[in-house]
Amino acid sequence: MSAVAQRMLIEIRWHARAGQGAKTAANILAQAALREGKYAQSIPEFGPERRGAPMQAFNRLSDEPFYMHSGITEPHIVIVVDPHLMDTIPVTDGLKPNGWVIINTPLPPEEAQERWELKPYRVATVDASSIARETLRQDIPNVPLLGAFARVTGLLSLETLQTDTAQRLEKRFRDRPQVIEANLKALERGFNEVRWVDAKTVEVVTEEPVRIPTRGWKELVEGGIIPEPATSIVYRTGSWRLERPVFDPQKCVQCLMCWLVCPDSAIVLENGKVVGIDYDHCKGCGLCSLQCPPKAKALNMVLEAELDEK
Amino acid sequence: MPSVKELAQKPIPLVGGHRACAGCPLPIAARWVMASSDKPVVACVATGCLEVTTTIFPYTSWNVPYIHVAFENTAAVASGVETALKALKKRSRYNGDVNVVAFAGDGGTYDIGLQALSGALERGHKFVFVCLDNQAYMNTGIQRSGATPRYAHTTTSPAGDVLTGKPQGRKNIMEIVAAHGIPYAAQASPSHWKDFLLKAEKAFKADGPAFLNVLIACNLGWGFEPIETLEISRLAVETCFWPLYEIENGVYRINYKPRHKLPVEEFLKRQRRFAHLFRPENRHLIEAVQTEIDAQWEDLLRKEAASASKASPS
Ligand SMILES: Cc1ncc(C[n+]2csc(CCOP(=O)(O)OP(=O)(O)O)c2C)c(N)n1
Ligand code: SF4
Ligand code: SF4
Ligand code: SF4
Ligand SMILES: [Mg+2]
Repeated sequence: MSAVAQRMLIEIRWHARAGQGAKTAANILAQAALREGKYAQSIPEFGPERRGAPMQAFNRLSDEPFYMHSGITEPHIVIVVDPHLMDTIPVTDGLKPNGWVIINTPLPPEEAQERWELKPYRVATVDASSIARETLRQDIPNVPLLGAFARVTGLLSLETLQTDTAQRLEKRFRDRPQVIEANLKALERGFNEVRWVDAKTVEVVTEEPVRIPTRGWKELVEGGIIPEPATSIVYRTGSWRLERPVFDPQKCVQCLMCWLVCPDSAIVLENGKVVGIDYDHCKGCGLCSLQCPPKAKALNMVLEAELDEK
Repeated sequence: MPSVKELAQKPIPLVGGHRACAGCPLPIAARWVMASSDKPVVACVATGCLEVTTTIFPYTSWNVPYIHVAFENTAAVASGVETALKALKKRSRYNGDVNVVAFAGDGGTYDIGLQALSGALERGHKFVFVCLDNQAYMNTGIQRSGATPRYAHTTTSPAGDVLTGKPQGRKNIMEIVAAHGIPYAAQASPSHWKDFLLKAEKAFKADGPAFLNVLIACNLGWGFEPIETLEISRLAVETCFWPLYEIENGVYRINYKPRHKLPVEEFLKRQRRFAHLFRPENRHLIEAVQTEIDAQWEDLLRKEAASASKASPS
């Protein structure tokens, strides 16, 4: 497989949700690169965000020493652990034309490229979640994704990844060799089952992604004062959601219980009446749906993935 | 108490876009407390999950005047705010009328914030101190605190070959606070919203310092799914793990007595922090927890009965 040019600094960005193991995966990747004699780095992006929030992790790989320690804004390779993020997060932000997007999805790469408008990039897809469930009995897609990464980029060998994984798990699972076996199998299946397509166009999509406006230090008020109230609404926590409450105004008895309990103030009222959900901020916790009187049942949780299919 | 319809007419004190975990009851509790105030509020908030997730500089979720204070001195800062407003009034530089509310985690209340709290209660400032008790130092990664219940697994009281979770029980913060002779102290849970709103309203109306201890069922630290948050809070009340009661001018009143007190096991078994108790070799520890909970409940019933004579007929 055509490798990304070797004598340069390769930058990789992982997109996942907090708790999905992207940090560990980036670590394994860096460890394996070190073992192959490369210089490598792995950096998780720790924010104040909590479980379920989209997060990033970064890797740098190079044949020569490098001294950068920043986050990565112009990656060569993007790895998407959670495919639902494709619709809410601008994962290709800053990605080099002809760069790789490696996605955990059952979709064939042609379809993924079409659906998520990835024509300027090389796209690889692997159903890492299914592989993980079949081999590891758990949805830990990062292991097969590492296998897929090794295959399409040629930056690491499958053997190194396997040696590294085996060593890492050896101590914890000494009395359960089948766990180690399953991990090696997951890596191998990711390696074998990944499919990919080349970039279709080289021009970069220039549409501006939705971004939180940031301010330079010169624009900030002295003393850490925030002069305006209630400004966090620019941040859209709706991207955290895996399920959404769907509101049926016909059934609603306007008891306002959903409004009372919503931790994210995402139940929209008009003239004191519930009119819908603010999906920009709803995190899909489901508390509102449990609070809705069983006789009304005006709020029902639906998987985002099912909505995608419709 | 204002009805929910009336509450819905007020401006919302804490807006969305904050980064608390999905389902986290912290923003619910903060909103309910502030909405119960008959006057505008100033909020003083200690470092901890609530502060960190709602004020990511330069943005804020707070729709009220807000001051972030260090982990250890919430009550001291709230005292300062209350006194400053009084001083300004005396000099006719300010003539508004506001309530001061302090929010701190259990770490910021039971442990590191305790001396500041004690000082403020003793000086008698008129403010409401709300302890958001999620039973560990959650913001920094689930370390045990003086509020962590016996046998709970935390990262600094891990359940394993040596320990069966935290060896010690919880501090009785309600008794500590009440010993200062303050006019109002109460324990509430977001699962019982009417009781909660009534208590918050009483706290603001108290003639002096008031204390609210609010149960915060933390899905991350306790180990359950976000959608279970209010159910687990309810089980805490129904098992008498978290009795709903108040101490008003020395008079104890239990606001809710479960008709059929559920076994504490029903509460424990829903959370991963207690999972190790369900191994065969640890089952006896569940009985030990039950014995402890029963004794605490009996003690509370006794205190209520003993102080009933003090209660003035109203
Ligand atoms: C003096 C001091 N020590 C330690 C810290 C680090 N720290 C920040 S928040 C926190 C834990 C807060 O726990 P708690 O008060 O229970 O609030 P929670 O996050 O659980 O809501 C710690 C230890 C600090 N900010 N200041
Ligand atoms: S699921 Fe319901 S309660 Fe949870 S954030 Fe969304 S609207 Fe609010
Ligand atoms: S809880 Fe249900 S019935 Fe009540 S206001 Fe909300 S949607 Fe309507
Ligand atoms: S860690 Fe717990 S208390 Fe903190 S935001 Fe998450 S659920 Fe809330
Ligand atoms: Mg805490």
